[in-house]
Amino acid sequence: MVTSLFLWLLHLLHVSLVFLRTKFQKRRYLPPQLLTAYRSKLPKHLAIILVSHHAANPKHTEELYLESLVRVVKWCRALGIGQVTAYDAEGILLGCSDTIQERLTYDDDLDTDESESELEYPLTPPLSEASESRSHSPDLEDFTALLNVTTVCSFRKGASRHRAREVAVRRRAHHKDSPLTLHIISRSASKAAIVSTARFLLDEEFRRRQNSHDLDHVKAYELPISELNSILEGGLPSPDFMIVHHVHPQDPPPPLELHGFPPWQIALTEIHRTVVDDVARLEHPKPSLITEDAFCRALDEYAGAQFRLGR
Amino acid sequence: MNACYMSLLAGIKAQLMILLLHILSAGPIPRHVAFEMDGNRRFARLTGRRAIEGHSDGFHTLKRVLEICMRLDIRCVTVYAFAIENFNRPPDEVGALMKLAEERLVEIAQNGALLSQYGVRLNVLGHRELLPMHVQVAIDKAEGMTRHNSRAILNVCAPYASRHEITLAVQSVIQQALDKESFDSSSITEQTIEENLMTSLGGSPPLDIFIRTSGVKRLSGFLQWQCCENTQIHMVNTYWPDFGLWDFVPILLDYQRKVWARSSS
Repeated sequence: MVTSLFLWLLHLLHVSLVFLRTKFQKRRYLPPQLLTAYRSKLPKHLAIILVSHHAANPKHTEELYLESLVRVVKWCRALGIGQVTAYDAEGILLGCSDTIQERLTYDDDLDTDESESELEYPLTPPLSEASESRSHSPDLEDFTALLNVTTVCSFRKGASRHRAREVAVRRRAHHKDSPLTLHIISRSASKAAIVSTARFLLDEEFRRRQNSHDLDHVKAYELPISELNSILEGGLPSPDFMIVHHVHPQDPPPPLELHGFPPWQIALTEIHRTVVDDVARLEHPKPSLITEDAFCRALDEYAGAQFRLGR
Repeated sequence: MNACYMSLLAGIKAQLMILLLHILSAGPIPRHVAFEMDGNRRFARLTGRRAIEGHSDGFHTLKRVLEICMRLDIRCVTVYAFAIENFNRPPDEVGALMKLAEERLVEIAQNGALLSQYGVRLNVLGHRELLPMHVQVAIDKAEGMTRHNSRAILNVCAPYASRHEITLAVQSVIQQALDKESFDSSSITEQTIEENLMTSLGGSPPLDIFIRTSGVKRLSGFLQWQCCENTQIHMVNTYWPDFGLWDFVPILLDYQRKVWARSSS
């Protein structure tokens, strides 16, 4: 009982210190660089994880997610960031992917009066390069659709209709009409995608052994990392940078979590969580769209990160 | 007189630490905490010393932090000691790290030392075949010395990469399904893959807290499957040799608030 009281006091002390530190940081608030300011590096593939409070109104959350995503896509296009992945665990964005397409088309039309752009849904995600070890059956193309990645591409009308990946690679101009590939995913593209891949590989191996006349069925099954990688990254490439944004900010903010984002793809991803800088918003927490300031601060942090790659 | 005063101060500090840990233990305690022990070399450079001295300091910090975890009754601690990519480092640094691992693992596993004192079983996880033979022998010896300990687990990941671990787990579940010959791919689930991860095979519970030191905000191939869901991730600016209660206590308090919030909702 006495120990519990002391623990409660410890928590009170901690919360008070965090509050004071936050206030002190607000006084020393330095605005981030402008969106189009020079940065030593920019991500080629940016992921945005949108998180809401579990008790929030779903329709309202959908609106917040949609508006936040549209903003992020607009800023990424302005900077020439060629790929964006949008993730929310519950699949709210996946559920309104048609609306996302319409909104991006509408914003395209507003931004580019003279040129026209089109949006296309490829039937399957961009295919991986051929596996280094074994060739896969023609079912691989159908299989990658089961990795649950919805990909939306934006490109200028009149350009040849290449596959999404080729368009994104070819054109990285830093102007507002830059084409951009948008992947929309939920938890179904996460560990579940690795499960689907494992089942697919089991199917393949079983068929191969049935068709094989050799006695190599006694050999242990071996799976090279490169093979698993080519399948999983064929469905969803690894982002360089990830921004975690809570649309219902809490004070103090809870520790960072990844909310079930696909684990394979986050080996080297730089992770950033937006913070609520506005003191007024902290005092009266209310739903929060991602602001340009928060996005720029994230990019400033990414530009300052060092990559040693094991060395 | 000065030595007496310092000794008294150290004694008071130790007692205060024990008191603080006792108070923390009144609340929820994480089952499994992982540490990405980053910043040893930069810490050494700050004081004009060689990288290997930073790693040696890092080992002392590991012992100190492990003792804190054991006093709090954290049942599983996982540390990232060496990444597969770290073989790209200068050969003399890699050689010195191998020597450090060979000597220190046996040192802490011996009778009367830290691991036996707290009943900790040592698991070294990773692509062990990449290590020099003398290090593999030392690992086998250290693991053997602690095999019957059952109170807690220390996973030392070396040399480790999460994609390698996930691939091996997928390979295992496929092999298990092939061995059954009944061919039922529905036997492969998130749970069966998770059960075949190296951490799970060593008896580790789900990961509650992931801590990376030195201010780097990436996972760098550490425990990607384990930490992508329901794990609190803390990227602290402190270099690993400096990590201590001052950094750890707020992390534990955050965890306790999460557990209380979850139980009240």
